[in-house]
Amino acid sequence: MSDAILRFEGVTRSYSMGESVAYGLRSLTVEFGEGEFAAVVGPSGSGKSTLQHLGAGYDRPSSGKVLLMGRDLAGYTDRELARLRNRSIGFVFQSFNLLPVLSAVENVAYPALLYPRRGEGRSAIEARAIELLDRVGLSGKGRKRPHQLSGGERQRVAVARALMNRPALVFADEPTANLDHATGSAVLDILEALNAEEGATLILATHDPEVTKRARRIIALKDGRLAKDAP
Amino acid sequence: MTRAIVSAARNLARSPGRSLSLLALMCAAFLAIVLIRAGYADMFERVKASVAREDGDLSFSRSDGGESDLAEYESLRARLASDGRFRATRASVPIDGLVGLGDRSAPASGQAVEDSGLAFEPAGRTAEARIGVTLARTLAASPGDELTALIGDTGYNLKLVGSVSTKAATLDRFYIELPLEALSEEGSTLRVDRIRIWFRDPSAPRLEAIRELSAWPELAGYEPSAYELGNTVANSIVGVYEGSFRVVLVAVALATLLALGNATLLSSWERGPEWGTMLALGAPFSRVASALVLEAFILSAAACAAGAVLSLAICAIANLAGGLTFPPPPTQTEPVVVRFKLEATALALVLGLSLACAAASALVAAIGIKRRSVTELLFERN
Repeated sequence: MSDAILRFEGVTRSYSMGESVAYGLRSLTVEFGEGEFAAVVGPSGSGKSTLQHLGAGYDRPSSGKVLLMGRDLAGYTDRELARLRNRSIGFVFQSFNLLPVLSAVENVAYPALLYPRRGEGRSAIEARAIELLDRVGLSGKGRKRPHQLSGGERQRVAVARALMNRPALVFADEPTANLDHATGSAVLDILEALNAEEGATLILATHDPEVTKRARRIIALKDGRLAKDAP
Repeated sequence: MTRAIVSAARNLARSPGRSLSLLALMCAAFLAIVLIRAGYADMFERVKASVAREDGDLSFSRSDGGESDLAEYESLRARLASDGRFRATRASVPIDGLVGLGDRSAPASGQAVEDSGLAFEPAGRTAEARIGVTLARTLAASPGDELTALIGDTGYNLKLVGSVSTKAATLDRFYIELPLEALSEEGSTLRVDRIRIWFRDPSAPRLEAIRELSAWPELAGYEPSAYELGNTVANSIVGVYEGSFRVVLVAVALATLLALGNATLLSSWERGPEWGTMLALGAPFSRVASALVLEAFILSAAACAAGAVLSLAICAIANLAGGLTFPPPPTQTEPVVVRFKLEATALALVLGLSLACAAASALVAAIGIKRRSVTELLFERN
C-alpha cells in the first residue's frame, strides 16, 4: 500500500438518542493510501457516511483520531479546517447539494472563488469551471440553474465541483444512487479518470455493484465496525 | 459584493411568500412608528405654539401667598416696556367668589387676566366672563347668558362669552375668568400671582433673561419658568406623550425583532443543507454569517424604502385632506385634528432600528448554525 493520506485510529462516533446511545463508527482503524480507489460498502446505518464525514472533517469523532496527510484533524482550527476542506478534499453528495441560486458554472467555480490562488482571476476560474463542465459532458449548460437540470446533470455538476480545486482526496456518497444506469456509469467514468489521471484518492460509499466492481479495494462495514477489508 | 447581493436577493426570491409577508410586516412596523411619530410631531408643534401663545415666553408665578399688588406690577410693566426686548406683559390675579344664574348659584375660583380680550363696563359693573365647562353645565348657562357674581366683596353683572376647558378637569367645576380691569378698583388689595412676558424676538434666549429678571426687586419671590426649560405643565404633558411614543416604539421594534428573528431562524434551519454545503466546500463561517446578515439587510432596506414611500404618500394625502380628525378628548369640546409632520430624524431612527433588528436576528440565526457541525447541517431535513 502507498503512503496513507487518510488514517482512522480507533475512531468511535456515537450519538446520544435520549437515554440510549447510537454508534456511527465503533473503534475503527483503517487507512487509505495516496491514489487509492476504495469502495466502502455495507447496509444502511453501517457507518459509511459517518466514515466519509469524519474523513472530510465535517464532523468530529467521539474518541480516536482521524489523521489527514499525517495530521490529526482535531488539531485544526475551524478556519484551518475550512481551508483544508477547500484545497484538499472534494465531496460528491448523494443528493447533489448544489447551491440553488447559483448557475452550474458558478456552482463549479464556487470552491475556487473562496480562496483564489495567487494570480488566478475570476475569469480564469470560470474558464476552468467551464472546461470541467465540458469534461463531464455538460457543454453549453453552464448558465442553467440546478432546478433547470436533470438529476444526472446535477450529479455531474457536483462531480465537476468536487474536482475544481484538484483535491488530493475525493469522497463520493452513493454517487450513482439517484441516477439511471447509463448516467451512473458516466459519472463513475469521470471519477475513475480523475483517479487514474490525477492520482486523487477516491473513497466511494456505495450499494452499487458496478462501483464495487470498478474499485480496487473494498471496505465493508457492519454496525460501525470493519467487517472486511479486501482488494 | 455585487454578486453577494445578487445571491442574497435570489435567495429571498426563492420563498416569495415568506419574503413578502416579512417585508409587509416590517413595512407596517415602519409605517406605524413613522406615522405615530409624524402625528405626535404635529401635536408637539401645536402644543409648543399654544404654550408660547398662552403662557408667554417667560412666566413668573408665586404660590407662597406673598404680597405683590397691582401698583408694584405696574412699575414692573413700565420697566419691561422701557427695556425694548419685551413685546407684552400680562398679569393674572387669583379670584374667588360665587356666581349665579336665576335660582342657581355655585362657588367659583379662577383668575382675572390683564388684556384678556374680555370687556368691562365700569358704569354698570358689567364684565364679560368665561367659565369652566362643568360650571356652565351646573348653572345651565350658555354663551350670551347674564350671570351675577360676588367676587371678594364686590358684586358684578357678568356676560358669559364662552365656556372653557382647563388643563385640569376638576378645575372646570369652579373655573371663572374675568378681565383684570374689572378688579382695578380693588387696588392694593389685589395679589398678582402670575406674570407672563413675551419677547419681541421669539428666539431670544430664555435662560439668560430669566437669570437677569429674577434679580429684579419687582420679581422677588416669583418662580420663573419657560417652555424650553421643561418646567411647564404643557411640557410635562408633551413628555407623557413622548414617553408613550417611546413605549410604542419599543413594542413595535420588539415585535418586529421577534417576527424577523423567528423567520430568519426558521429559514436558517430549513436551509441547513445549504449552509452545510457552503461550509463543506470550505467557506469560512464568516461567509455564512455575512450571507445571513446581507439577506436580512436587503429585506429590511426594501421594507424601509417601501415604508418611507408609503408614509410620505399617506402623510401628503392626509395633510391635503386637512389632517385626520379625532373625536374631542374628555372635557374638551373641539375635535382633535392631527396633521402629519414627517421628520427626517424619525425616518433615520426607524431605518437604523430596522437594520439593527435585521442584524440581531441574522446574528441569532448564525449562532444557531455555528453550534451545529457540517454533518448536522447537511442532514438537517434528511
